[in-house]
Amino acid sequence: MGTDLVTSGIQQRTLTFLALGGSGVRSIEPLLYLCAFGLGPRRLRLVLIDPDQSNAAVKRSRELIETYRETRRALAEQGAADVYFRTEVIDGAGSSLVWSPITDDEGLADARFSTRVDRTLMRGRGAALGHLFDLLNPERIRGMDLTMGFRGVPSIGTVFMNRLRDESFFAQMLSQSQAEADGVFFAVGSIFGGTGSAAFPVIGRALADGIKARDGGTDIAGVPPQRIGGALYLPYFTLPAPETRDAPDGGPRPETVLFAQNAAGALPTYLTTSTGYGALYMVGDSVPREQLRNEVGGEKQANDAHYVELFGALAALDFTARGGEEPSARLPVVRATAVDGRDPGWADLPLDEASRGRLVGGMVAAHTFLTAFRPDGRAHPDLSGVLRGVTWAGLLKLTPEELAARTRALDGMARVFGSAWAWLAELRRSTPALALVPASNGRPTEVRPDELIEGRAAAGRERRARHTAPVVFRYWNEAAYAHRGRGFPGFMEVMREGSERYARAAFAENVTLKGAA
Amino acid sequence: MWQYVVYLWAVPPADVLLACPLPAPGEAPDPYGVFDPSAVAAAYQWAVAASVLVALAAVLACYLLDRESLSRAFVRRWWSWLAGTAVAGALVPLLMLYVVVPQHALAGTCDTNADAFAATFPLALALNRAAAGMVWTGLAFAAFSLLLTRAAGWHPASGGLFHNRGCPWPRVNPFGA
Repeated sequence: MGTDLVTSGIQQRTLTFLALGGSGVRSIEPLLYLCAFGLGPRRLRLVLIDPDQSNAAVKRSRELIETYRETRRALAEQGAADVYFRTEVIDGAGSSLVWSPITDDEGLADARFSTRVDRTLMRGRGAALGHLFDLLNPERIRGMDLTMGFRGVPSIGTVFMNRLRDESFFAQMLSQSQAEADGVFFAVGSIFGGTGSAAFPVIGRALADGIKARDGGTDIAGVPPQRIGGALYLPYFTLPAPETRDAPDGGPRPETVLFAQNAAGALPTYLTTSTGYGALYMVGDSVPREQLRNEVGGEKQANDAHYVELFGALAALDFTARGGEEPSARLPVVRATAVDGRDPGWADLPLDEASRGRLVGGMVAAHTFLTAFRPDGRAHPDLSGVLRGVTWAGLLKLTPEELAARTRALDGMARVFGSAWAWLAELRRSTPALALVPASNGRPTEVRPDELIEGRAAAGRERRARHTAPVVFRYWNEAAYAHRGRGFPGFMEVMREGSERYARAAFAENVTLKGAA
Repeated sequence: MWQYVVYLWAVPPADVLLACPLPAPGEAPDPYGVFDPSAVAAAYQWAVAASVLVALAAVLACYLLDRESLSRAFVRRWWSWLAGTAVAGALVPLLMLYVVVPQHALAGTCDTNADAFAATFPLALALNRAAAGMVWTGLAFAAFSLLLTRAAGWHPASGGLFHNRGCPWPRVNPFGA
């Protein structure tokens, strides 16, 4: 049984997604694409936790979040945000989107570990504490620049993560959870690195504990564990040998040889003690991919997407679709999905038939959009001319000029869909690859609709016609017949329904479950 | 008026002259006889009926064989079909006048042969009818296209007529986007 992301009630729920560290943050991208394709919850509250705010993954996610929200705003103004881009994305950590556990109230420029824990103040009566600090942390650890992340040293991160309990946004999040009775919380991060490993246990515990009253205030109740889930990334990548042993600040670098050891050491914590989580999804790959570069934080730490990050996003949606776990269940419930073969594909996605159909349809819609409306993401020189007289536009009573005038919405969709295409291309090129769409074969306009979805069982057995976007439009036309006169909001419905019809007709073998997932 | 709608400028001529056979030795010559006007009219009428069928069949084939929905290629194909149908419309009257309804003399109009003997219809008149047929069928193709896409093309069950209902109007320019 795959996850039902269409009819399970997920469309009414709020998911608070806590992205922990670089790997967790990278899961935001697939999560937003799934939301763009109409597979997300009603509301998605995002909290990014990373001390390395200049990290390429953080930057990329921030830009995508902003683009998604701008697009959704433009669609909502036209009354057309109920299909694709249905999910409302909210800042959980304030307007900055990212919460850094090392931020201090004094605005210190010096971000060394020893400075941020006020080592210099550990004198006099605190001298013993200072000695203990020095014993536990060698010089190269004490001098680590924390803006580059915790770099495989979670013990440092844990010191700072508990500051979350003092943050006003955290209190607000807990208060909101009381009103959203079926809302769920989900944390995603690696347990073999630094930030994720440090944050994961603290976050679960902090959510479950709530906040105790101080200074005459009132308690804020915690979230029931059955509503808190998490995806733990097991070592799914390795790092190439670095050019220098130490990081630029003289501190340590994450070491691949320790990844498996770190994960093995951390796992019992989650399986044997109460960390606040009601469900844990273990996500990993038996063949870790070597990253292209070994950079310590910053903009240069830009690695290609990995399919494990998509599975982390799917785990969050699965938990949301379930509405959490049964209160009576023995918690935490541990879930896993088997991936068959070296390069996973459609058959490995843990989705039910309706959700799979929506996702394939979403890919068709995005591709058609990037072919007919915004070729490869660029403005069409004569969109009105191309759409003049097309049946679906006529039935919707949407003139080509009216449609073309929705520039903000169309440009936003082009940016999100174009970004999804680039992401899919990265996944396709990767080793192991995620074979969903042959995006790496070229730009959208260079890929025909009939060859859009990979893993077609009929290849070589049944001759496939060579399709173009106007073939997909035939299916849009049929969908438009049911939405006559509905204008631009109807256009979004037609794009979804029509593309899903095409997907069922052209890629039945990818939409239909064959028991592989 | 109706005659012009059905035949354009080439209405069935009433008294088309023909060259009578040469007289037998010693008999008086009779240079001209007349084609049987009923046979001529029949050929013209059959040409109209056949042209209607050709135009209709061409429209249905053009729309129903298409597997896309109003692509630029379809608009170009529509013009190709129109041109092809017009050519067929020119051939239809020739086929009728020379093959399907063979023309013959009106009995008794030639002294040299009083029978309704077979005669070849004048090429100039036939070409005139062919030209009218070409224009007529081209117009019929466009009219049927417009009519069927508006009438049957409102429902998805009409297939290509539904999917390409924007051609010929408002999408008529084969060189457009």
